[in-house]
Amino acid sequence: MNRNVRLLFSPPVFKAVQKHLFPGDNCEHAGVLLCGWNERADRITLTANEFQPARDGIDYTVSPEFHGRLQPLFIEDALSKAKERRLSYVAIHNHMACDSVSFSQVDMASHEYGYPTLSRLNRGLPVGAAVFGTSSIEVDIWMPGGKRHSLETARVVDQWIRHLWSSPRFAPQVAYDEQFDRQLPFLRNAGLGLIAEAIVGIVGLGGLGSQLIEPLVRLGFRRFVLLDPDRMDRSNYSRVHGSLPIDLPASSKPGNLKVEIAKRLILAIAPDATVDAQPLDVARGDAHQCLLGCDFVFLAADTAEARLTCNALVHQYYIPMVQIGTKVHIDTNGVLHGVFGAVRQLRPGKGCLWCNGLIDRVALADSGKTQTQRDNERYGADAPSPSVVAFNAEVAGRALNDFLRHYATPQPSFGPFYEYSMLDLLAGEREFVEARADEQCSFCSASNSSSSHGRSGGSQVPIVGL
Amino acid sequence: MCSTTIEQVLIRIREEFPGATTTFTPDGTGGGSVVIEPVDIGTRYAPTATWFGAHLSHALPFADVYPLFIGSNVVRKDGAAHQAPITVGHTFANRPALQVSKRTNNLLATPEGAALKFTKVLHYIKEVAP
Repeated sequence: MNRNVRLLFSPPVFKAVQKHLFPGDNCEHAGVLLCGWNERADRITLTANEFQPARDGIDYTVSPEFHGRLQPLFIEDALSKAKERRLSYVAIHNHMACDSVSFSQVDMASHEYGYPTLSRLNRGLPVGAAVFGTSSIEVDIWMPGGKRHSLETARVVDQWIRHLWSSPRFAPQVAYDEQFDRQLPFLRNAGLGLIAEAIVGIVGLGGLGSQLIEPLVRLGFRRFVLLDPDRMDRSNYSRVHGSLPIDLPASSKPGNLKVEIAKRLILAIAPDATVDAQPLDVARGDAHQCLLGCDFVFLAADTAEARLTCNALVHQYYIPMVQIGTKVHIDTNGVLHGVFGAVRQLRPGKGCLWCNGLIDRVALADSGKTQTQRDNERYGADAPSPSVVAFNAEVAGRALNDFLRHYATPQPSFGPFYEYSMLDLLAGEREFVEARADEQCSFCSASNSSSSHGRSGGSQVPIVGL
Repeated sequence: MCSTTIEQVLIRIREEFPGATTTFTPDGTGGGSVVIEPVDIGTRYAPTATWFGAHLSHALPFADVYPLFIGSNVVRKDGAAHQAPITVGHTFANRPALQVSKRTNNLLATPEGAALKFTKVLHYIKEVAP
């Protein structure tokens, strides 16, 4: 059995599961999770889309030998919903366990008896089971074709990302390395393990995205997916971290690709790092699929198309993300009105860029028009977009600090969390903004049945780039 | 060829403008230009009817329908010049045109929302434009 399943939860679904399984009566309870799913790079990811609790004594009965059992009508109903919505079917129950949990022999025997049939009934879709302790989860997932898989990790993708395993022995471990000694008291071995194993995606390796590279590598991150179709231009040189004179365009060659410059920087610091450098626009073709294996993504590309695609990935595939940007406001008379930075945390069902009007629909309308059409339609002056490396550094630093706190440290005791931080970079002030969420949203709403929320693999990610 | 979404938008537009001819010209990207004619633009203008058009992006239903165009021969009956966001000197689908630059960021991302944009902008031209 391969230990390669990721089970991802949005906070409301995980909370509902915990409340149902552990009401404080020390008894077993059960239900079914309907999950989106996708398979990539030898890893199966399940996104818990909906929890159907089984009613004690009606849908879930316990035999005199204390063996629990879901009733056939309940199973049939859940299975038919799974098939209709192209979701996987995962029957769940709990054991009175804390940070270590496993299936009993009776559980495993019942899987071997029942799941070949369920697998046939749920044609082409995974079926399986999960058992929960209060701080642990194990799964037994049967893929179409009959291969079985157990849990690599489960996560509750809230602002703070909670990592769970079937046992602490499956948590990522790292050997002591003096290189990281000074950050050990803050991150602990658990944090360093998470960092060493994490795959970090960066979309956009320009003035802002390139600022993230060196600190991430110095922190111990070793696995990267980089996406940016752009090449270095002389006007970028003041801001792109890691760029050298040889990267600039010359009469004999175009400028070097920004992803290659970032890759070179990573490997210069950490030759053992793995870098998937893709000179692609995330919003074109199937480029976004490179990000499906990522544990966290920094969105530093400032196009409406990239925002639309990445926003969909967050809510559909439960990939936590932060969108970062800076804006220098200078009016047409050259008067400086302010310099602002945005650090927007995106999580399943939270911080949606679409709900908050942060995806420019006119810019999307321009995609597909010819340059002549755009020129003909130009209305008002297009302001130039100033950019300064020092401002980028502050925004990148804020995003990195938040990322460390949210991904690789024990749950912060302070709060509340706000999705968006707006930085006034001249005044040195920060304002927190609670993001809106529209119940009708086709990206982030779990209550809208036509939304793609949690439907990883079952719904198409909107691609607007050609 | 056009996308399924745009097919649905065109169906809704034909429902919104039952007396008019709706002509769609694909742009090769999945989107294209739509021209609806004739469309009544009210008694504030001469002529009172013209054509009405826009580019439908392949990025619908997420994209805005922006900008929209009407015939360049439309003038205000009070003799005043058109004011922003109605601007002169444009072309659309090889026709001389007035451009109506009205952004809408809060319509639902549905084919109905896209079709409704035409109705909303037409209402603006007829009743609200300065």
